Amino acid sequence: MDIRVDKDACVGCGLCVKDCPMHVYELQEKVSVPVRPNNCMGCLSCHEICPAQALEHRGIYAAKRHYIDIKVCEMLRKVV
Amino acid sequence: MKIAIEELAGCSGCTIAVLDLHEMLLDVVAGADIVYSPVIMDVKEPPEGIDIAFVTGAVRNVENQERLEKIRKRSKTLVALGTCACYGGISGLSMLNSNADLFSCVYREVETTKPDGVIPTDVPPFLYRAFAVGDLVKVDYYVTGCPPKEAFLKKIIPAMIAGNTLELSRKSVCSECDRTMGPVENWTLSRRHEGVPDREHCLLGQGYLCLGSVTFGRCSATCPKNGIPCHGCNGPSLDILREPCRDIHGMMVRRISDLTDKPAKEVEKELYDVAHTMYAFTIGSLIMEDKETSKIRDLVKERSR
Repeated sequence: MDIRVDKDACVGCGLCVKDCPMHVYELQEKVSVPVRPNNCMGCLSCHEICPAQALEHRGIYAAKRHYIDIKVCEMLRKVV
Repeated sequence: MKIAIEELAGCSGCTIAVLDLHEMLLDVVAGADIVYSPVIMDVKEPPEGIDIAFVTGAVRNVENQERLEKIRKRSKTLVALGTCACYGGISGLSMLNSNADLFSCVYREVETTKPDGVIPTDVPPFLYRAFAVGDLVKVDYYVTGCPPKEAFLKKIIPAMIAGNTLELSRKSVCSECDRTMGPVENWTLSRRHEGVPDREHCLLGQGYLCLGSVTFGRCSATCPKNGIPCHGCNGPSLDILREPCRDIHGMMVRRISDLTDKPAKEVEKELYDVAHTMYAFTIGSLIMEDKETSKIRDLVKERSR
């Protein structure tokens, strides 16, 4: 799993460390680091809890897994 | 290139934010003519053939709706400018009262009302609810912010006029904030006027209801950096907008609960006046109301009787 953390955005709150069921993350020098990316099962619970939206899982998108309101998708594409 | 700025139910602050481009405004008008804007010039009706129309404000009465439909027909690109146009904004809070109450507050009870009590017949009637611009007509771009911040408009307005696209950060207010966040013990909610927050730590952790984590960024986190909890004026962050099961209230409760190890039910009990503290800027938006976990429907039902 290719997990990227935006170090500028990360506020070091540790909520992803606490929330991840597979213990993928650790806090190192107040920034979250995916130390065990191969354990990741792609549930994206870390995305849900991250206050700064600093996490990115390459190739996995929450929006592609569920049916989503067409009106919402239209709006999402147009937010500048 | 012709530009127009239309005013609906709002405070004109977004038009003033455009004027806040200051000297850059000269570059803008060198490339484009502002042909219609009730706040800054004396033209009564939008002309035909507008290239970019910026619409500010929500739609609350019949006149707003008529003006919106007119400018949509006469413009090639329509931009919802500001949170009122994007999500109903502050004008949406009017849904917490019945239309009859609103009418008598605005037209009968203010001090400047004539004592004869006669209502002029040309007062436009209210619609049954507030709408965001995008709920009623096709919108080409959404620019959020109450008002959109000057530094942000300086990037997007010239780009729009030149027909360029640009990549901007699409993250939440927390990503721009320099406070440190971490687990908290013995958390209790404080009202904004209580105590003085320290400069270093997250305001949410200090007990203030800071909506930074559920709010779209672009404001450089100006309020939280200066000790004022974010009240969500940029509208919901994009993950909340995208996911049908996420909502401002739900995610705030979940995040507080995770930070403090307090059960979600306990956190919910501490919250007060959810309509004004959580949904102050999004209550008029059908998109936000339609979310499964949204509290907007209940709040409106409960308070508008």
